[in-house]
Amino acid sequence: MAELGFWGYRRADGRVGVRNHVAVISAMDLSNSVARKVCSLVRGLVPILPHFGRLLLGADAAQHVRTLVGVGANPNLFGALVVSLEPDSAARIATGLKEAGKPVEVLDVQGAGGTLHAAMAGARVAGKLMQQASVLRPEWCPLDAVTLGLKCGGSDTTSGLAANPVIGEVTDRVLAAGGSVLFSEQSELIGAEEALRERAVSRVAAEAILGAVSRMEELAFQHGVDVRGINPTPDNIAGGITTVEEKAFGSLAKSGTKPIQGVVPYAVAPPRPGLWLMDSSGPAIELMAGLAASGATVVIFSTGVGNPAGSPIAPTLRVTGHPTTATAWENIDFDASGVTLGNETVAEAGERLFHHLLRVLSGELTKCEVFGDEEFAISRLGETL
Amino acid sequence: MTARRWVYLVPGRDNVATAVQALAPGDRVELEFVGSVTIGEPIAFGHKFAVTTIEAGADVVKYGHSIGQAIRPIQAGEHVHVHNVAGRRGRGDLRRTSRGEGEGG
Repeated sequence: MAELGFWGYRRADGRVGVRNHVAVISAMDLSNSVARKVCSLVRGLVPILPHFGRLLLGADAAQHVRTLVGVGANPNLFGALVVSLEPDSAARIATGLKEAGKPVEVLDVQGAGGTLHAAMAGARVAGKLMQQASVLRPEWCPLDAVTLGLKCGGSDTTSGLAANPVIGEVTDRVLAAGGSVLFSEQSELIGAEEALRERAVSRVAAEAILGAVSRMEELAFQHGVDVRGINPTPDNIAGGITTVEEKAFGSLAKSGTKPIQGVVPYAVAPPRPGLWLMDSSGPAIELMAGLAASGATVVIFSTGVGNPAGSPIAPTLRVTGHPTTATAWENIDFDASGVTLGNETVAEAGERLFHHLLRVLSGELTKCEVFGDEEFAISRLGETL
Repeated sequence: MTARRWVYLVPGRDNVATAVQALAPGDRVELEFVGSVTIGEPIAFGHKFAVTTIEAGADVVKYGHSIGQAIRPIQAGEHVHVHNVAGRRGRGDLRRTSRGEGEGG
C-alpha cells in the first residue's frame, strides 16, 4: 500500500506548500490599484489586496502587518512582490518574508513616480519571480507536513448531520498522521463548552479555549445584542437551525474527536503540531485570511445552503451534505449528501473526502481556484485615526 | 442502505429528531427507544420534530446536549423551531453573564 502523502513544495523554513504561487502583496489599500495592474501584466500572480492599512492604531496595526507577513510566509507561496505607497510600510512586510526565507521584491509607488511607472517596474520583478518559481518541482511529502484549516458557512442542519462529521473524519486522519488542523469561529461554539473542555489537553488549554468562546459572547453583550438576532443567521434558520447552541454542536463536529492543544491568536502559527482553535471572528473571508496567515495550506469549508468563498492562498475544498445544494449549487467540490439521506456512512464519506483532499494537496484544483471565487480581508479591531 | 426520511441522533437522550425528507401530518415515524410517533404538522427538510412531550421550560435535546429550552409545551410530532424554542446563550437581551447557570465555562 502506498504511503500516505502528497506532492508538495518544501520551503526554506522547513514547511511544505501544496501550491507554488507568486503573490503581489499590497501593504495597504492605497497601493491596491498598482498591485492589480501588476497582476494584469503578469499572468498567474495571486493578488493580496487588503483594505485599510494606514494610520491603524495599536493592536489593529500589529494585526494588519502580522497577517500580511503570515500570508506572505505561507508555504504555498514561492515568493512575493510587496507593494506599498511608501518604502517603510513595504519594508515592514518584506522583512518578515525575508526572515521566513522567501524570495521577496519591494515596490513603492511614490519612489517609482506614479502608478503606471510602478506597475511596469513591478511587472518586471514579479515576472522574474514567476520564472524562478517555475523551475521548482514538488517532492513527495508525508502527511504530517499538512496544516488544514476548517470553516463552515451558509450552514443548515445538514452541516451538523453530514458535512461536518464527515470533515471530522478527515481532521482525525490528518492529526493521526502528525499534521496540524486549525478550527475557529468560536462564536459558533457558544453552548458547546462542556464538549470543548473534555477535549482540551490540559486545564490551561481548557481555560484558553473557554476564554476565547466567552470573549465572543461578551462582545455580543457589550453591544446589547441578543445573539439570536445575528446567529443563527436567516439562512441558517430557514435551513432548520434553531439556536446558537444547536449550531455549535453541528459546527464542532468538523473538529473531529482528538484532543485540542489550545488557542492560537488570529494569524499566528501554532507552536507545535496538533489540533488548535484559532481565535477569530466567524465570517469566511477574514477568517480564511487568518488561517492562511497561521500557516494553513488547505481549507475544507462546509456549507448547507451554499456559500462560494475560498482563500486565494490556501486551496479551499467546498463540501455539502445537502442533496439539493450538491447538485443545484455549482460551487461544490464534494457531495456528502448520501450521509444525510442514509445512503452512506460518515466513515465511508470520510474516506472518500480524505482521498479527495490528498488529490487537492497534490495539485488537483478546487472550484474556487478554477472560478476565482476568492477574496481577502483582515479582521479589524477598532477605528483608524 | 435505503434512503431514510428522518435522523434520530442519540436515541434515548435526544427529544427531537430531524427530517431529511419533508414529512406530512399523519406520517408515522419509528424511532429507537421511543417507538412510534405521528407527525402532527408539516416538517420541512432539515427541520426538527419532537419525539416526546417537551414541557415548557424543559431542555430541547439534540446531539445528546441541550440546544435550548421550550418556551411553551410541545407535543410529540410537533415542529420544533424558533417559534417554540429559545436558546439560553448569547442573550444580551436578558443581560446574563457569560458564565450562565449550569452551562459550564
